[in-house]
Amino acid sequence: MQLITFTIDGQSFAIESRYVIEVLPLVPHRQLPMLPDYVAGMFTYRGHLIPVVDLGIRLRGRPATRRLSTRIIVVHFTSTAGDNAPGRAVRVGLVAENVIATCHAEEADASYPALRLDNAPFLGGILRVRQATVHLLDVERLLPPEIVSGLFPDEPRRALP
Amino acid sequence: MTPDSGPRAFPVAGQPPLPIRTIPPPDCWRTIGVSGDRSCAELETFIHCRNCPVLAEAARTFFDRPAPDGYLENWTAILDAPEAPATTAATSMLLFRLGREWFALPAEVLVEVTSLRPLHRIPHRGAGVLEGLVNIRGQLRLCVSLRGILGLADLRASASGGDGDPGPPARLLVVESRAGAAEMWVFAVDQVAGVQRVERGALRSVPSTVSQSAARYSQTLFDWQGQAVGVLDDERLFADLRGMMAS
Repeated sequence: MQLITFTIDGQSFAIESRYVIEVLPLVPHRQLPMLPDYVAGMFTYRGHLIPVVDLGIRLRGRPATRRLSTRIIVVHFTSTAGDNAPGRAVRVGLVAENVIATCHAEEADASYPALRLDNAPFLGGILRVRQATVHLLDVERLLPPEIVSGLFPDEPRRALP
Repeated sequence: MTPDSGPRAFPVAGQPPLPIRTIPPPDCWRTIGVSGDRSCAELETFIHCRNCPVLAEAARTFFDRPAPDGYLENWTAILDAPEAPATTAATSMLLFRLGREWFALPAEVLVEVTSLRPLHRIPHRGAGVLEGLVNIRGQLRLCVSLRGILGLADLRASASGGDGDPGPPARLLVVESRAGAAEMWVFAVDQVAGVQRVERGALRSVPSTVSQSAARYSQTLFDWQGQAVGVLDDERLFADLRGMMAS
């Protein structure tokens, strides 16, 4: 399992690279009113508007610093949020710091199982890779179901291949 | 943008300093590494600074800076463009140079690129097109002059006149007809730039000012690194070669 690593407020985190479509520079995005702070806004991605989530705010309550290595990771996943539909293909941009490396979970020499917290269902296992610990995040649970169904109201209902 | 004198340790709020900042000197690859006097003991292990984790860490700090002017605006413009339809509209081309001109052949016809080797000339044959026979993996193949076919013979004379830097090595290209007739041809080129993907949309037609013999084989052009590259029509080329050899 390949992971793409980044930092939030100095701490290492990772998501599985199978969710990742592309990593982009932190291009300007328009803000959305009436949404939680961590939904940073919307930006034009290859001709489509997609929402951006600031992982700095989502995880630590502080926006990611604006540097060249702070990037937007465009991820896709199938959302089952909201209704009992088979699932919708959803694309979201994740803002994170130090998006400059990947690693393999198989390299981990120690691990801690995924945390089970009701207020943070996206926190996954903790791995020790190359003398550093990295906390895995579950991309599909980063956004609460009501936010996903609110952000993607008219997405055609289709499953990802 | 101001020219950087090297990677700098930008302070990062709330972040522990990276290990690089504790290892003196800060730009060791310039002082004791491959760009310096090569006195670094680690070179025994890593051979070149690019394999060394110190340089890797330093390279990471290179991104700890604000985005350069215009960079994000440029990317916004790139992302405004709709997604390119998946790859069917692209084709792979082998790029090579004859004299000063660049040409491309569809990668499907390429069998191999190989080094120059002795040529066995055949007396009384070819009239400038057939150069002779070459040994390609134990088989004698017909080696032809693509310059002669394309009418570039005079260019070769002027290009080879200046001696000095020999430049990239000349190569032999082994190509095969796509028709399945199992005919192989070999010809020499001055340089090979590898196989490149070319969007079909990037192909444009040849201006009418191009000489007749070259235009016969290349109806389309595309731009590559500021050069116009002529795409050769392999079927017409092979058909004509067949005709020339039969006569």
